[in-house]
Amino acid sequence: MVWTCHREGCTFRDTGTCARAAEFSAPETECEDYLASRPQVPSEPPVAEEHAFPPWTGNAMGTEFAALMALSNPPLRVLVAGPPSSGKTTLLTGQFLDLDRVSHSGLPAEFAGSYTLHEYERMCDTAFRWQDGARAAVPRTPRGLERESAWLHLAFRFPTDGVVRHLLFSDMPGEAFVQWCNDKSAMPIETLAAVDVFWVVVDASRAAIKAERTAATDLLKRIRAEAAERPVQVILTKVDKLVDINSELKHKDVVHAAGQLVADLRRAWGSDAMAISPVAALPKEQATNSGWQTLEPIARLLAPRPPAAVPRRTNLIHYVDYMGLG
Amino acid sequence: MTATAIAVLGLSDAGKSTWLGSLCDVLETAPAERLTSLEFDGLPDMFRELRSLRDVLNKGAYPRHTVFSHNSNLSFPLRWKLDGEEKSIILDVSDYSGERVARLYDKELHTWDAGWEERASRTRIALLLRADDIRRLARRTETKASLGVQLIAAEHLPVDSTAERHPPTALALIEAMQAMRAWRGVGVGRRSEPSSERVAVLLTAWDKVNDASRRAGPTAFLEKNAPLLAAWLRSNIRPDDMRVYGLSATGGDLGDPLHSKRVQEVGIASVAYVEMGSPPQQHKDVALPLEWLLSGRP
Repeated sequence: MVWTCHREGCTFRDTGTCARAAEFSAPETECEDYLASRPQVPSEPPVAEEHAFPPWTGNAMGTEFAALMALSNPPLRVLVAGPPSSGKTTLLTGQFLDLDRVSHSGLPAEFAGSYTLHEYERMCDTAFRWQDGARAAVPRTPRGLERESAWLHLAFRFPTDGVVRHLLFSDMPGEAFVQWCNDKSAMPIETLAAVDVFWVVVDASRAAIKAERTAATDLLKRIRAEAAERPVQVILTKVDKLVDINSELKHKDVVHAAGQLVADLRRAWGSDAMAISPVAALPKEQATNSGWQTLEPIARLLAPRPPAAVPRRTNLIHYVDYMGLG
Repeated sequence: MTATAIAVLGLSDAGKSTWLGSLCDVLETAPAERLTSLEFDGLPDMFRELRSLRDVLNKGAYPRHTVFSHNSNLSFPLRWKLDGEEKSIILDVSDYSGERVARLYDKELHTWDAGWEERASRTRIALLLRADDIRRLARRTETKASLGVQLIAAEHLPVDSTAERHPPTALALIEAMQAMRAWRGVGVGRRSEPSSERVAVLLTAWDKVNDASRRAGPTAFLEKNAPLLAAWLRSNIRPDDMRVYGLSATGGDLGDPLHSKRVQEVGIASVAYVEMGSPPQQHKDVALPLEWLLSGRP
């Protein structure tokens, strides 16, 4: 940037040559008159804003999310719980991919930002290299991960009133929840106290394995005991492995097992009125970048009052009815 | 003297150099269809860089990729006349090398520096995305041969070996905008006061977009091809303070010998154009987005 020097007779701005070249070989950095003449760029007054957030890394958040807690509208913290390989991280990945798939996601609020974009990208990048059946869609969350140190952030803005809703999703290893089922004290009290909503992620495609069903129901019982009045949402993942979403049932025996799983979960919950969302985060058609129903659980979070136990009222296709979720 | 600054923000190969080159020609040759009253202000020497870009374009070729080591504080003083009043304006292209945006996204180094702070003070932003190369999630280069093919076309790869990272376009731009706004104290999802923050989205290489997309207009194109960025803009920027332009700074593909020859004959200013609205209206004046950023009109 070059500007007019206030010193009378200065020719630097117009000719690039300083009349006092003998004194200053680089007048733009050496001449006090010239430097003092620098125009003030009026940075328009910062908006009075209590919601600003300090610099972030873009990676999964650790303790720095405490700053978010200071907001007048603090984030909703979601504990994404589930046995190992139940699809917790894949669910979070699929949700972000679906937010980037269509401009209007159908959610009641619009994507407004994220402090963990880099983490989401890393997860999505891995998911795209996935070859169906070859290995897990996303790497397993490492066991050694500090339990409190991995949170993913999304912010949504309601167009009607401009309210911003921050969401934080935990990304914890499944082993932590296995331990928790066996030992109530394995989950830090402060972690549990900080949670606003529980998601219980269950792999529907492994419902035929009794040990898997038991692990899921044990976890749900544990959460029921801890959640008190807080909302609990069961999310059945990998439903694309049960059926072809776009056509007919493929594996009736597997679907039957999934129906048995749903019945078990409802028994564990103690009521038929339990929210269960079937999703396919990265279905085989994932080359199109399209998941199935992945944003439905987020829509529930963005509802004015997230329901704790409301029967499903959606027009899901027939296999959902078959599983007893209609 | 009052001054207003406009920050030009875009990743590598977004078309910043090409736009600046055509802008230079438009400002100097002033074709009859000019709508804006912008002109150069100050030391001619400062514009040598711009003129060299313009000269390359007028020879019917694209400017070379701007290397990361390039002077990071390029600012061009412009003069703007409106309603009889004359103002000085700074066109700040300090992110001239798009790798700086990528590095801010990656945060490999301590990339938030004084330059970024100065940029963050700008509340007028020209956001450039190349319409024919919007990198969606997971489209990135690989530097290890064992990881497979490169997903970015070779011709888009920067010559600077330090600049091999191509983050998804929307994510890198959202991160830069978030960081700049946070520095000003504006939180995620918060809108500034009316007219206090304006963003012009320039979809470059607009001539390469297919006919159907062009008819639908630049805004629809952004919605379809960068939905996350479109949603972010809607949430954070007031509708009246955001505008989407289709920009063809070269009026066609300079790789086409016929078009290249035509540019050599008539000059880049005669073929460059911007389109806006739906159905889009075409204007020959590629300085139009700057005028809108400054005045909110036309």
